[in-house]
Amino acid sequence: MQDIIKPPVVDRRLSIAPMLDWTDRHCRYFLRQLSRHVLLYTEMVTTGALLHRDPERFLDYHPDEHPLALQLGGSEPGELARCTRLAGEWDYDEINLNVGCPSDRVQSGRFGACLMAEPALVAECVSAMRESTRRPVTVKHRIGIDERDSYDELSRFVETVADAGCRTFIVHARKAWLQGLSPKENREVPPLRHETIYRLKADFPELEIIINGGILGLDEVVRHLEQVDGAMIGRAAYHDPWLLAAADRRIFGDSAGPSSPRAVVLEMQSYVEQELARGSRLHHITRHMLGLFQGVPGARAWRRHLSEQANRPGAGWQTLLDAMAHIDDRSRPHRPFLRPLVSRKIIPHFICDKAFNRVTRRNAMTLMKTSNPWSLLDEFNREFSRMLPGFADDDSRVVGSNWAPAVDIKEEDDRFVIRADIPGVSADDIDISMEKGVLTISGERKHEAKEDKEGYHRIERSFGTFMRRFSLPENVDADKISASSKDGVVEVSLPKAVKQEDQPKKITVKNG
Amino acid sequence: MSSLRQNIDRAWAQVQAGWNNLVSKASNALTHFVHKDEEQSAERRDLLRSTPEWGLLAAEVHEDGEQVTVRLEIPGMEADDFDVEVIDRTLIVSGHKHVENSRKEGRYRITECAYGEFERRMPLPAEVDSSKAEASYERGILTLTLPKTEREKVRRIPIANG
Repeated sequence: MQDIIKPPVVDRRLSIAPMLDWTDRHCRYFLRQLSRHVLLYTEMVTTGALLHRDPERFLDYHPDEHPLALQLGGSEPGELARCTRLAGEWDYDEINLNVGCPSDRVQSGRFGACLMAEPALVAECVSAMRESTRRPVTVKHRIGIDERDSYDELSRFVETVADAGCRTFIVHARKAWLQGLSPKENREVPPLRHETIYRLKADFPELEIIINGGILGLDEVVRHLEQVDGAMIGRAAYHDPWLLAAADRRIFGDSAGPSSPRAVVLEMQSYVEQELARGSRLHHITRHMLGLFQGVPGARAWRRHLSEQANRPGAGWQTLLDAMAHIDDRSRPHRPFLRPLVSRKIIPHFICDKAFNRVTRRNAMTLMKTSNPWSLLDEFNREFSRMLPGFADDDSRVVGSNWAPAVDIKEEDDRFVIRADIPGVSADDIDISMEKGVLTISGERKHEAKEDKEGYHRIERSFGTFMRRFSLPENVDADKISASSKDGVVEVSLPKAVKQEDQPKKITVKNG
Repeated sequence: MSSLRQNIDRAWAQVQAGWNNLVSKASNALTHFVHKDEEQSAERRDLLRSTPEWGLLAAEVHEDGEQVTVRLEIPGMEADDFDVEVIDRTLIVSGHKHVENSRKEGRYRITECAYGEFERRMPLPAEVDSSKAEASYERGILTLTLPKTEREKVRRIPIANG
């Protein structure tokens, strides 16, 4: 069946990546409450699942989810064509072929990232799909796989697939190792190469190139849009969904957008009630909402309440309201100020040996000897987040630093000021850098000792590397950040502005 | 489920071990900062109320044949704000850490550093001649060099390894 009505043009300036076990119906409906325009993708659906089981289970969605793309996994042109026709019947706005997923689950079926090694086959698939629909057919792939990661290989792939009629390429800025790395490691280990994708756009200006991989927020999206046609956000959107709230205004030039995270929850009421009436479990909806209040007082209690209560029998809309009662967003607006990413309190830890600080230390006795209680707490946090995926605070836990300075943060009319107690470190050994909206203060404290190692009666001080990171509010002018140091106190001044930050920036510390 | 319990037990054992260790190391460094009401402005009093009353003054005491060296991490002070005394074999460092307030307007969002009057006492490993003591304050570290009394110097007879 051919589509009769010409489909609307899909605006891909900002999209949310297809994520297995994550971007299900509930997730997409929730994200839609945050942005009317962002393009949403389904989880990858394999051709086998669609053709041999009930397609309704995989294809049904709420009409409000538009604009919505279906991502298919497969490598058999005939099957992909049939699935593409189904997508048309279900009125998806775009059909996307997955050539980027490195999961074992995916490799064994001979689809996903391993197809990058077979551009001719991908081209064949794309042309079979295009013949089955007038809707756009797009391809999501990586910059390379395994040893085949040269730019030539990448551009040959794009060229071959473009010849088959694909106009839109969503490119992940990390290559994938098909052997030896888990999907999670494949998201983190290979380095991000955004510039490779910029080059691709420059070489194929007539193609629509969407950048993906490691994009943390709208500032970065805006920056990427100067180089490519669109940006796709992945995990950042589920760790901190509220970041999408400004998307309609900042990316799509529409004044709409939710007024507060609380308003977003309230918008969910009728959906939640309808879904529960249909037999959905509350937990399956709320698991996507855990990160919504990121950075607001009470967020932890909100998450805990939902994690503990939402899967109990009888959990319903009231459960959400009860969870939201923990949120204290009246006293301050959402994320109005600079916040430490690692909320370490004033007690530093003592004499650490770098070698002992390795993550691998597990044994309590060994840890006692290392004298580094914070690594214990970090360990505890890690264990905990491993047990409860989606519960992790953020990716910012600083592994490998020996101590963290205490700070005061003040907001003045025209700037923010961070004062960090860093006694005994010369300005040359302090490193302040600003990247991706995150300010990092790091460095190393060396012992000033001239005396011999024997003879210490008391050592309470800690030495070695330190680090602390802060997420910046969007109104900080990254170009004007300055820092000075006096009497062991480092003062970082962050002037407010409306301007965006540009490139990663180093800030030198003046001696005072 | 049993692996969950194991994980929690293990993590808890680690936290306990760490905590004991922290207490044994830090309890000496933990210092009370007294907030005096003499601060003039209301903002300053409000600010003081929001800061922690306890802070850490991490110290290090080293002894060799000639002298005792004490280093104390206390950033953000003026050299004149310290008072150092030696009474018998106890070193007493006291002072007043003032809230940095070059500009009045604005509000503090996070206050982790302690301000106010403090006093830290430390037993010294040897008798020192306080009249010959020297103090310096650099990069937030107060360094005290306390020469031993003549009596102390002869008391210890080094034993050579043989």
